[in-house]
Amino acid sequence: MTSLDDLELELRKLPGVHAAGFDELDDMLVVQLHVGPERAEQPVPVSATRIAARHSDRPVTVEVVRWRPAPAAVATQSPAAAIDLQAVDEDRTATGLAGGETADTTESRRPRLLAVLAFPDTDELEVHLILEGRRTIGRAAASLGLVGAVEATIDAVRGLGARIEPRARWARALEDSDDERVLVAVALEHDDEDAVLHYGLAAGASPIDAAARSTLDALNRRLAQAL
Amino acid sequence: MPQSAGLGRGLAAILPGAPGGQTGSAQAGGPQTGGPQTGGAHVGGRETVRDSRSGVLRVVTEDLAAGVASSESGIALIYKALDALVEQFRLDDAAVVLEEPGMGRQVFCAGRRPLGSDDEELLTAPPGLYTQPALEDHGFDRSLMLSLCVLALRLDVLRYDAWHDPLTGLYDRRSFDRLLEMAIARSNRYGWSFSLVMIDLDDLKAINDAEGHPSGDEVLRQLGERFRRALRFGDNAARIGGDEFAMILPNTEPDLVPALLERVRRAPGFSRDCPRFSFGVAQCPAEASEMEELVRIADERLYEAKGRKGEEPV
Repeated sequence: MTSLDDLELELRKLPGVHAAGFDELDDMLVVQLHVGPERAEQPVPVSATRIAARHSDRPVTVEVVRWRPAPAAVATQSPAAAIDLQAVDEDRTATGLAGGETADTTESRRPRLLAVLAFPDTDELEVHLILEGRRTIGRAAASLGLVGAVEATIDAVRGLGARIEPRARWARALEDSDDERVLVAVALEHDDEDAVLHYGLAAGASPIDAAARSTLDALNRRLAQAL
Repeated sequence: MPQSAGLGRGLAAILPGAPGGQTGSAQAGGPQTGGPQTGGAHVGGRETVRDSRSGVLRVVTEDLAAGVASSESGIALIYKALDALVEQFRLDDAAVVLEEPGMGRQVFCAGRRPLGSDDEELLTAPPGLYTQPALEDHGFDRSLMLSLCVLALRLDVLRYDAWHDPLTGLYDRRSFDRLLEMAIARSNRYGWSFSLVMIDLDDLKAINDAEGHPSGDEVLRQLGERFRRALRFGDNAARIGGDEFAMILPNTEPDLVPALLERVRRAPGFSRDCPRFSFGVAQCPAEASEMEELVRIADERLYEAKGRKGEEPV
């Protein structure tokens, strides 16, 4: 078996994973997983990212697309199953994970986070976004920590052509939850608005991951007009 | 990797009897949406198919069967079969949906490509072979191909299970011996150095006695996850006995091993503390270039470390 075959088999064995696909972006391997409503002991993005790191000698991003049965199918589920599906929806919202394909068109106009990569050796931090098939990479200094993740996210949003120039006022990790996710809040300020801060809040697999998701949360209200 | 249009706009099941699936050409994704891409249009396409049928059957079924019997990966064979189908029948796209116990529904698209938003019907489609446009029945044995794809995936799963310890998910003893042989051979041939780390838990018996075997199993399972998190690309870890573990760490000097194991100990997010363990390290080829000698040195150092712990005041 090749390393790619090993990687794919391990990813497909993760609970809830029903499809795996591969793409390349510059020097990076992009792995896309379609994950169903099954509940896993550990969030799939966390497990998948660890597996991918063990199997690849180059940068890997893992894009998780959560899908759910059509509404008609949900209506036929037992109450317990329906509750589970609702929980999945909440998870998708909280983590900002992909789901645009099954969501309404407004949501699909919003950029989705593919990956947040830190390279301590070179003091670089990368945020990878996708909007309607177009991918961008934003960069900032890794040593800036949470604020670096916010700045890299803004840089990536700018790469999508958004005509906004927000700046990070602050970014704070709020708490560590039991399921390993980290909660981060950010406040952004805009040049064109006097003293109006835009706040974002999201959970992520790591502090910088959560900071990037929070930044998108804070920007979402303006992005629909700006993109 | 090919980026083709999604199958969703003309999902065409060619598995006989599959719900919603049809055979023949009069369905969405047939000639109306382009049909076989042969210059002479439909007739030319049919001739091409007829001419190449033996080639398709050979690649898609015989080679698939031969590959399943060999050491080639089942996943690679599934993609090879789909790609051959696309190429030989000049299809836009092809996918197979399988149901595998323990893995549930699995969707594979030709070219190993990710699913597009048009393809999500496949995630709820019944098991079968799906093509765009619809693949007409030219005597191609669809059920045989589907069965071989199932078999190919099942062999991969069995192979994986045979190589891995079911409790920790790490490699098992047999796999580790093979990996160590290979690492030593590479080291001797190319001079690539690696560290062999032998690890032994200090308190597993006490945990089993005090809390029961389910607790002991949980300790082992969590330790396996701790090791997996600490591994880098190219590192390998295995459970080689009841409470014995081993790691092969390429390009790692022995003095770096304690820091790595400290990361294992301190990894957050576990319900139990990391169990106490002792370890010994040997380096190849600097200290030994044969398997028995290398393992002996690492084992000796492991038991020296254990002995020192035994002398420490509690």
